[in-house]
Amino acid sequence: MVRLVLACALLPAAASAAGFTLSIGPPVAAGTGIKVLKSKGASFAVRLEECDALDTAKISGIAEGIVDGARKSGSVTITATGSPGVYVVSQAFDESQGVWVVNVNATCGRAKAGAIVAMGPQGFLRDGTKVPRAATKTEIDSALKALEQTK
Amino acid sequence: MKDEPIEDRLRHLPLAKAPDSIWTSIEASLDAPMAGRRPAPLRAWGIAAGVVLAIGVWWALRPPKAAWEVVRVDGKLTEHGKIEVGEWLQTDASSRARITLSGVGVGDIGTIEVAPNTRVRMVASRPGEQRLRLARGEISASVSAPPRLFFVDTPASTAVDLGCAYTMKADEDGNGLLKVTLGWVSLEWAKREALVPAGASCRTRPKVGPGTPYFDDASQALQDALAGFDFGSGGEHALDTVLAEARVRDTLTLWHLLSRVAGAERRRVYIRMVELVPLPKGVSPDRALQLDPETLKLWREELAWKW
Amino acid sequence: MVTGLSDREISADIIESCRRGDRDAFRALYEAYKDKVYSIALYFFHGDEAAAGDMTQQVFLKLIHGIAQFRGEAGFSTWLYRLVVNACMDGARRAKPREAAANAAAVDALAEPGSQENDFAREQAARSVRTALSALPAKFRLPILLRYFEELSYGEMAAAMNCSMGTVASRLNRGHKMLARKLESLR
Repeated sequence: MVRLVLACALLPAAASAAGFTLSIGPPVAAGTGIKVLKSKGASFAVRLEECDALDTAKISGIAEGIVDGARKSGSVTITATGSPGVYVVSQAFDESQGVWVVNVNATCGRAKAGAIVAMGPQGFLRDGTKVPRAATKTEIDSALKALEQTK
Repeated sequence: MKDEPIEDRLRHLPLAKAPDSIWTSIEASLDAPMAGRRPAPLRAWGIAAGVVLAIGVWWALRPPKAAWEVVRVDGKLTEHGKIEVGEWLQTDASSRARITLSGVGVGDIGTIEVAPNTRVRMVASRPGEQRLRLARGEISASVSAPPRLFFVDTPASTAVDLGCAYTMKADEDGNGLLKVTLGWVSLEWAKREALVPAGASCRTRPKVGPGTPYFDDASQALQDALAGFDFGSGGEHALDTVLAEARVRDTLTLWHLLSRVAGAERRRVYIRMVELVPLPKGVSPDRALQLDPETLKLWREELAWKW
Repeated sequence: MVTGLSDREISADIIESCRRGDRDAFRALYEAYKDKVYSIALYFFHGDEAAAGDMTQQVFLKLIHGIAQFRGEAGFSTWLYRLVVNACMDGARRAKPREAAANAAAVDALAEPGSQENDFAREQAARSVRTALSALPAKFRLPILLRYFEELSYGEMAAAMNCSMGTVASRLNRGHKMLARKLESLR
């Protein structure tokens, strides 16, 4: 009986971890308001889904690219919008040179989620990759190679 | 009763009255020893000096007359000036201007680029409202004010800034075109409203108001059919074309059309929308078709993630 | 469809007066919200009047002590209901695990005092809803109470509960379904 109760108590936490994911959308999806406008040059919006601990959730991002055959990294700025769990991501790298993706990672309690967002000439591309953890180097390399082949 | 929807049954839950004892307990906590003392009363001989000082301070701080800074560029000539409430600013074929929006209590909140052959008027500049009238021509606005502080009136609509950058045109007949490049703009006129996000445009016509917004990369066939539906006699054929041409992104257009058609046409629009993007959680089909404002707002906010 | 400011927002004058320690202003604030806060607490804590009273007192004391920090970035009611949400969830965490065993008599007593329910079927139905609601897990019970007592919008609920609107919609949806199933079993 004790073991059964313990297993049941663990289930909700596991379910929450399974549900946590990131939604990626255009900057307008972050809603209206002053904080969105101040993120001029915003490339896309990110929303933390199924996160019960937004107060302590963390999000980070880095741009990864291939420019003239060489791997490069670039910085991005992630701005909270005032809507809980919604952020806009602005890039500080020159996306006209080479191919680029933005690797976004987030944690919500013990749960993790990641997204590899491919960047195109008109902004982010919708067919990115989502993973239930931080993206691996292999996955990022693979996304960059796929982008190169479409150029 | 048994078939009553759960939401309606929840609305009948009675409100309980908070007992008086709660306030008694709160007051007792507040009446616990307080820090700080009341300020000592003024002495009589200081009062007269205080009054004179107060008047002087009031005079110095009285509200200045509301005005916006203007820089006019006429060929190579640059002229600095101001425009005050009620005044017009007009550019000719070879001149343009830049207006810095500012107001008492709000500071600088953005700029308006006034294109050649444009006529604008400063209508209001007060803490809750900065308003410009565009009679004809073109302006580009980049505003960092809180939402619903800056307004542009045209003959066929009022553009309500929701934190954005956009271009607004009006021709001699009062026909307008809004293009949004950042954030959102709300176009309002009489009982008609259009919410236009970045990457989208919306036409306006006198006596009709705002048309239906569309993304700039929507097919030409969709844009032409929409113009016919909004301002011409396009009718059912126009709607057929809009529905057939619509992509996932064009659910912006379809979302607006929901409240501009009725009956069977509204059902057709709804069906096409859910074919393109499954209905989000929390959006009830019945409430959406009944145009429940809260439901439509939630649906739009979820759809925006696909735009 | 034009979105405007909520007319539930308490006036800036009252808030400013509260900041200056005006007891009458605080009393006005308290009177405006006391029944709704108390009702949410009472339904949340399964009809436990003592727990609901404690929580209501706690919320308003936190409000008056924290009002100097209220900057008006969100609506006042959003801020207030965030205090309510935190107090309810703190209370739920501290309470003994008896969620599933609702106090039927206490929940029954939630009928409006002196209400003249001539329609027996209606009163039975209302009692069933209260019992079913009391049996919901805390994280589904709370958004339902915020929605139906205070009619908060999804955005306001997301701000109060510090979660996304998608999560609010999901919890309301699941809460409704769980209620419907529970009500079916109570027939």
